[in-house]
Amino acid sequence: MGRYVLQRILEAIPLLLLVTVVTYFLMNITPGGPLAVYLHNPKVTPARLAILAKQLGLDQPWYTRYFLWLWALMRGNWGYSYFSGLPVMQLIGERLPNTLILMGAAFIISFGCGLPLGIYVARHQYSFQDHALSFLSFFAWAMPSFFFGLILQTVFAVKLGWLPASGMWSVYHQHTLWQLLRHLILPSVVLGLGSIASWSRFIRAGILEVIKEDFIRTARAKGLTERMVFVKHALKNALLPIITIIGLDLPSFFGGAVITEQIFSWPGMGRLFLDSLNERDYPVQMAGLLIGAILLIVGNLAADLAYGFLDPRVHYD
Amino acid sequence: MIEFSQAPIDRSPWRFLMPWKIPFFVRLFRHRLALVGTLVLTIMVLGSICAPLLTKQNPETPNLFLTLSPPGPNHPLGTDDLGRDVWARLLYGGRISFLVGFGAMVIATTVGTLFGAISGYLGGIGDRLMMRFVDLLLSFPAIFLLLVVLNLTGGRASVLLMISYLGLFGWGGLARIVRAQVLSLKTLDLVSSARVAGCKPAYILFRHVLPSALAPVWVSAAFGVGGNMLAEAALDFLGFGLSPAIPSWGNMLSAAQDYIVTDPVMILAPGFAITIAVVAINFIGDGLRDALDPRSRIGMQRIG
Repeated sequence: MGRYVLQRILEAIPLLLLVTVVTYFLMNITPGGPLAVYLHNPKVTPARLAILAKQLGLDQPWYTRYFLWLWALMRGNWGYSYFSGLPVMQLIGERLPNTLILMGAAFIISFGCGLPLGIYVARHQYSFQDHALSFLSFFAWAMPSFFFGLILQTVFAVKLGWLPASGMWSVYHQHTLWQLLRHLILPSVVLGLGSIASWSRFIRAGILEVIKEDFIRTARAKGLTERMVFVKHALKNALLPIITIIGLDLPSFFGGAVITEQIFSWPGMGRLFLDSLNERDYPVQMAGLLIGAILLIVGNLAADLAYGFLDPRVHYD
Repeated sequence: MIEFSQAPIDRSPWRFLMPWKIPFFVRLFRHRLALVGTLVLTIMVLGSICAPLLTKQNPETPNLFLTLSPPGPNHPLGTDDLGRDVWARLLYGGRISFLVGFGAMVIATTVGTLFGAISGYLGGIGDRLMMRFVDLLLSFPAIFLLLVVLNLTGGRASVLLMISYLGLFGWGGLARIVRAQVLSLKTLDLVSSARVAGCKPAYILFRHVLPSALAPVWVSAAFGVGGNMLAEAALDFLGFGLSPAIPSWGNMLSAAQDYIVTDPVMILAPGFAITIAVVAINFIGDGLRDALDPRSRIGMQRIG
């Protein structure tokens, strides 16, 4: 088992390196090159551009530049933003925790609503509630998240005024946990909506499959109460494949956060990335791509390993 | 003497490319939701194609005397912020949205299936290299990659560029699934016997292996159309999709953001149009999945 873990980790490292190569390549084929921001300035003469290029090391061949960049990356120097001049690491340090908070809250809402929902429709299969909730979950998955987000924002924040419309903190309230939660509800519901729909359907399907198994019949024949049968035997076995699905879905919250953060002006990595696109801020774009890819690779790896760890039937030798 | 009274069953492997020849289609339409989905989708697509018959307004000419007007006699759903008729934009925009959805799906399905099938059948170092490439493609969050590439090429794309981008970045998952299918089919006796009989590998792949591996492809194609439509809308909303002049449901949603409170019809119309279209497509995909590939996980990921 330990060998499998090591093997998977060792497989992930070349993938990460390839990711850095692609990121570097993408940023270098920008029209105008890395110094494009100076090209429209009439005061910058070609001679000055050449001096700048030499200072920044841009006259070296691309492979040298790539390895120097990678070496700096691994030592923690992720460059400086073209727009604000701040170190990219500092920007990430400010923004990434906010996105992680949002993703965590969305996960809690998705799982907390999806699990009971899935169990409920599995218990009452083919009833009216099952059909109605399945229909609603189709709708929830199909609705564009920004459409839902804008409507929620208009209804709850603008019309009813119950919840704040944007941001992570308000200027006129203390920075308490309660205020954070008030700001967090709408964005995390929007982010987690699609997952509530899909996870509840998978949980339903998983439970229905497990219920038919022989060991459930045995448990019932033994005289256990329905509740014991369900919770102690059926649920645990049904949840196992769900863990993989959830684990693989979790990194996709990061992509969805881009839209949600834009709607609710949440100060996170997604909005940082979007702003950097509009400002042609290439170091921040590179950082955004790298973090997104790292989260995805690590998330998939963790989901894979967790499944191997949790399911006693799986042996990796 | 036994009389065979039924028609000869079509056993050509290419029947999988023509779904109406398979009894499964009969099974599919017993699935009521899929039937409803097909009906709704057909209505919507026909409505978009026959747009000139359903509205006399031009979706692109602004009329600055009549901006943001409520539903009225000439404008069944009112006008938008530039005075264009919302109903007309909805119909003509449906053309673009469906075109992007289906077009990107065709590209992604073709590339993904071929890639996965060839990779699975090759095996060895070629397979590993190709799968490494797919892993690389799948390592980036799709929306990030799309945004960066769109930004590199100018921020706004034409319909053709949009279709190409969505198609070229969305085939990774399908390649993996097709490869898994091909790998399991490769072990069948019929493949080894065909090899012994002297058939060329390409022939074996395309005539014997691939047709039986196509089941998840149909499911993925069905869900892919909806996913592509949602992705195009999301990119439009973020400011990086189709040019604002091109009427599409995503563009309409994006333009309606500022006017939700004063003119809710402007955002509700395209929003519900997209939702209903994607729901219909998902019903069809669900029906296909139940009929072809009940255990698969296809279709549950989306952008935005």
